[in-house]
Amino acid sequence: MSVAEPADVTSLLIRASAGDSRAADELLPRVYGQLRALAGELMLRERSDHTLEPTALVHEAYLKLVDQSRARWEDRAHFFSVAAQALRRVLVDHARGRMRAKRGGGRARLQVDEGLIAAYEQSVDLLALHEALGRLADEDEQRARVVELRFFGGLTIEEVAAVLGVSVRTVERQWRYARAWLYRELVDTPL
Amino acid sequence: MRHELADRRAYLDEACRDQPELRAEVESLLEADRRAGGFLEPPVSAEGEADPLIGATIGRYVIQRVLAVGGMGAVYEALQEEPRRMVALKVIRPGLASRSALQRFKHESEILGRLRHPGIAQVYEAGTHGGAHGAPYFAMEFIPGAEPITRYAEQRRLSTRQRLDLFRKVCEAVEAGHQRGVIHRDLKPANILVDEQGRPKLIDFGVARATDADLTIATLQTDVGQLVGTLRYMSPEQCDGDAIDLDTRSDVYALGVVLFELLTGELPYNFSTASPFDVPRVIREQEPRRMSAVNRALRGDLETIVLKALEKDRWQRYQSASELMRDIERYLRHEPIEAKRGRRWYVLCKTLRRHRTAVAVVASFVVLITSAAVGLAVLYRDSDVQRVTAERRAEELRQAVYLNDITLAQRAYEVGSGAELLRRLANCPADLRGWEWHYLNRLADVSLMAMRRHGAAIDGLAVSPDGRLIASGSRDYTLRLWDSANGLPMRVFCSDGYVEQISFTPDGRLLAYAGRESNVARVVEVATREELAGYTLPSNCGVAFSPDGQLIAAGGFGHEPLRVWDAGTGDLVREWAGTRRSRPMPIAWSPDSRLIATAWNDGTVVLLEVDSGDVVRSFAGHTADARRVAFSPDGLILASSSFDNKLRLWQIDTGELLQVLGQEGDLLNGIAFSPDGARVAAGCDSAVRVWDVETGVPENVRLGHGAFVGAVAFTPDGRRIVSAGQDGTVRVWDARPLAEPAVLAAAAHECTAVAVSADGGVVAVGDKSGRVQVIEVATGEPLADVRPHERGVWALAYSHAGRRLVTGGSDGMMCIWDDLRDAAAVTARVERTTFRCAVWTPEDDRVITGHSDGVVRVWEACSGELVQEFRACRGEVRSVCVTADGQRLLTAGNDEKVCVWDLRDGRCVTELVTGTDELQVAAFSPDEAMVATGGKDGRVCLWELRSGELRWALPGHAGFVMGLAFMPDGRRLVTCGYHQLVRLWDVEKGESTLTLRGHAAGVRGLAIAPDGSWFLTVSLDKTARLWTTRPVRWSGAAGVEDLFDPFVQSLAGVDDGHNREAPEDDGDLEGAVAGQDLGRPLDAAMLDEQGEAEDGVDD
Repeated sequence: MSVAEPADVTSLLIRASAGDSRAADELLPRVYGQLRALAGELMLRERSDHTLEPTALVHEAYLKLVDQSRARWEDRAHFFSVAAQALRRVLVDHARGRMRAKRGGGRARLQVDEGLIAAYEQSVDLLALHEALGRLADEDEQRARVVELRFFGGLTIEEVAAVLGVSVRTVERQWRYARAWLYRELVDTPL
Repeated sequence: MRHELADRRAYLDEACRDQPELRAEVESLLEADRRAGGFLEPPVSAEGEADPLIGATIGRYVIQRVLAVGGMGAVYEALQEEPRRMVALKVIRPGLASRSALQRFKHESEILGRLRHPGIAQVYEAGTHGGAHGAPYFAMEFIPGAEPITRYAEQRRLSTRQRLDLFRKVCEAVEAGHQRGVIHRDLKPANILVDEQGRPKLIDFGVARATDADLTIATLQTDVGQLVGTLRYMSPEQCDGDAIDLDTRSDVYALGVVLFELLTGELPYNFSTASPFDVPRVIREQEPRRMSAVNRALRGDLETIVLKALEKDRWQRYQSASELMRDIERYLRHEPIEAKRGRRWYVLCKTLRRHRTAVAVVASFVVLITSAAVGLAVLYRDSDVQRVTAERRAEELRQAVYLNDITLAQRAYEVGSGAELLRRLANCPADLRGWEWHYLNRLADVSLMAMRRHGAAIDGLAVSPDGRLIASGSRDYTLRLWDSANGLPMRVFCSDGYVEQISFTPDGRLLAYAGRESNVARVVEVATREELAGYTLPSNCGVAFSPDGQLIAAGGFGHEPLRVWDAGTGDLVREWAGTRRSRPMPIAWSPDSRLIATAWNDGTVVLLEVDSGDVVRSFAGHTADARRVAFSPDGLILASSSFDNKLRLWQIDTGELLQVLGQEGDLLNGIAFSPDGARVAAGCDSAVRVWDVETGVPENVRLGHGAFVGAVAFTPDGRRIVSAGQDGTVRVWDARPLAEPAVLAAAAHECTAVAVSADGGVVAVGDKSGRVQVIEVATGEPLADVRPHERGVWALAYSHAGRRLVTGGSDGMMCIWDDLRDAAAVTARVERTTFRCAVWTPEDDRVITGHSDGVVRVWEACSGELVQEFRACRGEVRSVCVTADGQRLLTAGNDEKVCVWDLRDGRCVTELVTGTDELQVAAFSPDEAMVATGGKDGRVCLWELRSGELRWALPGHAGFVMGLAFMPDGRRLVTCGYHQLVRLWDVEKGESTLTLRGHAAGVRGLAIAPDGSWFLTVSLDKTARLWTTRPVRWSGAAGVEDLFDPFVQSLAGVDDGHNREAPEDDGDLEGAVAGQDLGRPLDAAMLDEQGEAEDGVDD
C-alpha cells in the first residue's frame, strides 16, 4: 500500500484548521486510509503477536503524513483530533468486517488490523462502544469527543484539554461522567 | 462528587428535591463510576510493572521503575554501575527516528552534556539502544523527591516572597543555559522541579531541540503530551510555528506564564471559552489577564513584571532571563523595578491611541517616572498645563525613551555586545534618530563585507594559502568558496553532514573537509572540484593537512579514533584510540607538522607527537572543557579557548601559562594567530576580539555578527581577519587595530585649532608649536604639513568657496593661504597680541579676527589691509561668527558677555550677559535665531537671540567648555571641553544625547563636516580624532598604509553602513559571472567550470 503525498494531508490540514470545511471533510477519509495502511505496515514489521498501541500509530501517522516544516501547532492538534476520529472508524470497520468474516466472508486484509484491535478489545466490545458513543453524543457532543480522543486517540487528559481548548478539570469531569455513563450502558446494564 | 457518602446523600436530597428521576439517574451514574475501575482507560497508560524494559539494561543503565510515560517514550529510574548512581533515563520509542535524526540527536545531546549548572539537571549521556534504528535515550541527573514547582509551592503553602525567591533561582538557571547558547524551549512547571532541599532543577533543557522536528524527525516535541503540556506555556512566536526564529526570549515568555501560575495558581489566559484548536490563536491575540483579577494582593509591581514577561512582542519583553530575575530581586528589595518605565510608556501609547485627549493625566505621572524626563516635569510646572496638548507630551516621552535606548546601545557597544546593540538601535523610531544613532549604527558593523549564502551556522573556516579564497563550512551541509577580494561566491560543495573543519594543502591544490553527522572526511581538488576517491577518511569531526603537506589527520578524537595518514601514499601512519576523556574538535597541527593538539573533557589540552604517538605535554588550567586550540606561527605558543570563558596562552616548551584573556561572561570559540604571531584573535560571543600576545592588551572590539562567532582566521598577508558565525555569515575585517575614534592626525605638540573646508574634503589642524597640517578626510592622507607660525596656532578658518585658509597664532601673525604647500598669499602682523579666532565673511572678501587684546579686526582678504577694528570685550576675544548676510558679527570673550555687532558701523546691537565667566565659545544656530555659549563654568547654554531669553542651560563639562558647534540641520549641538569628553545635545529638548570618550586629555576644539556626517576634535593629547557615522577605510595617525580595494571603496560612499554587503546575485548564478561584471578576472580553471556551476550546487 502506498502512502499518499505528505503534502496532500498537510495542505488539507492547514486549510481545515483555518476553517475550510471542505478540506476538513476531505481530511478524515484521507487520514483514515493512511492509518489503515500504516497499521498494516507496522504490523508486518513487528512480531505477529504484537499489540499495536494506538498512540504510537497516531504519532507515526503524523510524522509520515504531515510535512512538519509547514504545519503549525494548531495543525498538529487538529491532526490528532482527526486521527482519533479516523482510528475509531478503522477499528469499528474492522470489527464489523470481522463479524462478517465470522459469518463466512473472511478476507486476508483483516489480519493486519488484528494487532491493532487487540489493544482495545481487552476491555470493551468495540461495536457496542461505537454505538453507545453515538448515543452519548446525542446527549452531549463534547463528552463523546473526550472519549474518542482519550480512548481511540490515546491522548492523556491534558492532551484532550488542549485539543478541545478546555480546562483540564473540565476534561476530568467530562471523562469521569462519560466513562460512568458508558460503563452503565455497556457493562452494567441494569436489568 | 467530592462529598462523602452520607454528605452525598444529604446533598442529593437537597439538590434533587422533587426530582426523583434526576436523583435516580445521578445515583446510577455514581454507582457506575464507582465500579468502572480502569474501564476505557487508554491502553498506553495502563502499563506500569508490565513495561518490558523493567530490569533490562540500556547502555550502562539498569532500569528499575517507570517514572513517567508519554506517547513517544518513557522516563525510568535507572541504576548506573560506574559511577554508581541513580539516573533518570528517558527512552524514546524505537523505530520512530530516522538515521540522520539519531545522528543529530547525538550531536545536540553532546551540547546538553556540557550544560552544567546547579539549577539544571545534568544530561550525563545520550545514546541509542539496540542497533541503527534503535531507541535514543538520555541519561539525566535523577532528582529524588522532585516535584513540579507549582505543586511544591502549593503543598508547602509558600508565601509570595518565598515563591519569588524560588522563581528567582529558576531564572538564574535558565540564564545559565542561555549563556551556553541553549534555549530550553519547553519551560513549564512539569520541567521545573524542586528537590527535597527546596532547590529548583530544570529538566529537559534543550531536549526539545535535541530531538527537534525541524528536520522532520520523530521527536518528543511531536509527542502530543509534550505538545499539549507545552501549549499553554508557548510564546506567541512559538505559536507561529517558526522554529528557526525562536530565541531566548521565548523562554522568558514561558517563565512569565510559570510565574503567573506560581503566584495565582491559574494561567494568564482563559482557554475554557475558546473553541477547539484556538489555544495558539488565544496566545497570539488575547491580552493576558491581570494577576490582580485573580488575587487583588498581586497588583502593582509584581503584576507589571509578569505583564512585561508576557508581552506578545518579544522586543517589549525582558530581553533575558537575568533581566527578569533582576527585576524580581528589585521587587524583593523594595526597589523600583525596571519594567515600569517601558511598560507605562507602552500603556500610555495604547491609551493615547484610544483617547487622544484624555491622556493628559496619565502623561503627567508617566513624566515623573521617566528618568530622562525630569526636566520636562519642571517645564510643565512652570507652564500652563492646559495649553500643552497630550500629543506633545507623548512626543516628549517618546524622546525620553529614545534617549534611554541610545544610552543602552552605547553601553552595549562598550561591553562588546553586538546583538544587544543592534536590538537597541532597532528600537529607535526612525524620525528621532539623530547623529548619535547613525554613529552607533556604524559601530554596530565595522566589517568590510559580509557574505550571506549559508542557511545555517558556520563552524568551519579556512583561507587558501595564496589568500585568494575563503572557504566556509556550515551546518547547512555545504562548503562554500568565496573570492576573498570582493566576497563573491565561487563554489559550493555539498556534504552529507556538518562541515566543521576545512583544510587546504600548502600548495592550495587540495581541500579537505569534515564534520559531524557525515562520518567521513573528503578531499577535493579545488580547481576541478573532483573528489579524490582514495581520500575518503573516517572522521567524526575534523580533518587537517599537516603544514608541510606530507600528512593528513582525520577524526576528532572524542569517542572516535584520531588517525594520521601519509598524504602521498595513503598509508596509515599513526592511530590514537578514542577515549571518553576527550571531545571531538577540529584538529590543530603544530607548524613543524610534528604535533597535534587535542582538548580534553577536564579542561586540559594535550599535545600528541605523531612520530612516537606519545603525549608530549599537557596543559592544565581551564576549569571547563577546552573548545579550540591554535599554535602560534613560530610554534612556541599554544592558545586554547574553553567553556570557562577564557582564552589561555601557553609556552609550549615549558608549559608555562603566559596569558589568561577574555572578559567575564563572553563565550570564546575559534582562535587564530596573526601571521606575525604578535596578535591573537578569537570569536567572543557575537564579537571578534584581538589581543596583543605579548601584553595581553585587548584591541577595540569588532562588531558586526548578529550571533555567536564560531571561527576566525587571518589572511596569509595579515591584512584581513575573516570570521564566521552562527548568524550564517562570513565577514571580512581590516586586521589593523581598530582605532575608535580614528586618529586623523597626530602631532608632537598639543593640538589647538581645527577647521573643515567648505566642501568637507580636507581639514586643517594647528598645534601649539605653530605647525599646521592639512589632511584629506576620505583617505587620511596628509596633503600639507608646514609650520608657518613660531608659536601656537589658535585661529584657523576655511573660506566659504574653495579651500583658502587663514591661520593666526600667538606670534601675532596672520597668514592667508591659497594652498598651504605654497607661500602664504597674504600675511599680516599685529604686535603684542594673539590671533585667537578667525572667520571669513560670506563673500570671502574679508577675514575677521578676534584678539587677545579684546579687539576685533577686519581684514581685506586679497590685500591683508586692516579695514576696521573695534574693542569687543574687556578680556580676550575668543570666538567670532558672522551671519549669512554678512552684516552681523557674534563675539564672545573673557568677560561674561556675548555681543552681536552691526558690521557696517561697529555698533553693538545685542548684548547677552551670560553669567558665565571667561566665555570661550559662542555660535549661531543655523537659523541664526539662537546662540549657544560655553565657558569656564562648564555649562552649555542656549539663548533666544531676539528676546535674550535663556532656553536651557545644562552642566555639560567638568571644566571649561572649549568648543561648540551646531550640526547643519540644527537638531544637535556638539560641545567639547577640558575634561576629555565630547558631548551631543538635542537642541530642541535641551538634553544630552550622547557622551563620547576617546581623547586622553582636554579637547580644545571641534569642527563639523558640512553634511553633518562627521566631526573632528583636536585635543591636548596631541591628536585630532574623527567621529563619524560613515565607515572609516583607513587607520593609524596620518598614515595611509593602503587604499582599499576599489570595490569596497565604491561601497564606502553608501551612507548606511548596512549596505556594505557583498552583492547578491539572482540566486541561480553562483556569483562567478557577477564577478566578471566587476572586471575581476577569475582563475582560468574556475571560469572553465562556470557553465556547470550555474545551478550553484555540485551534487
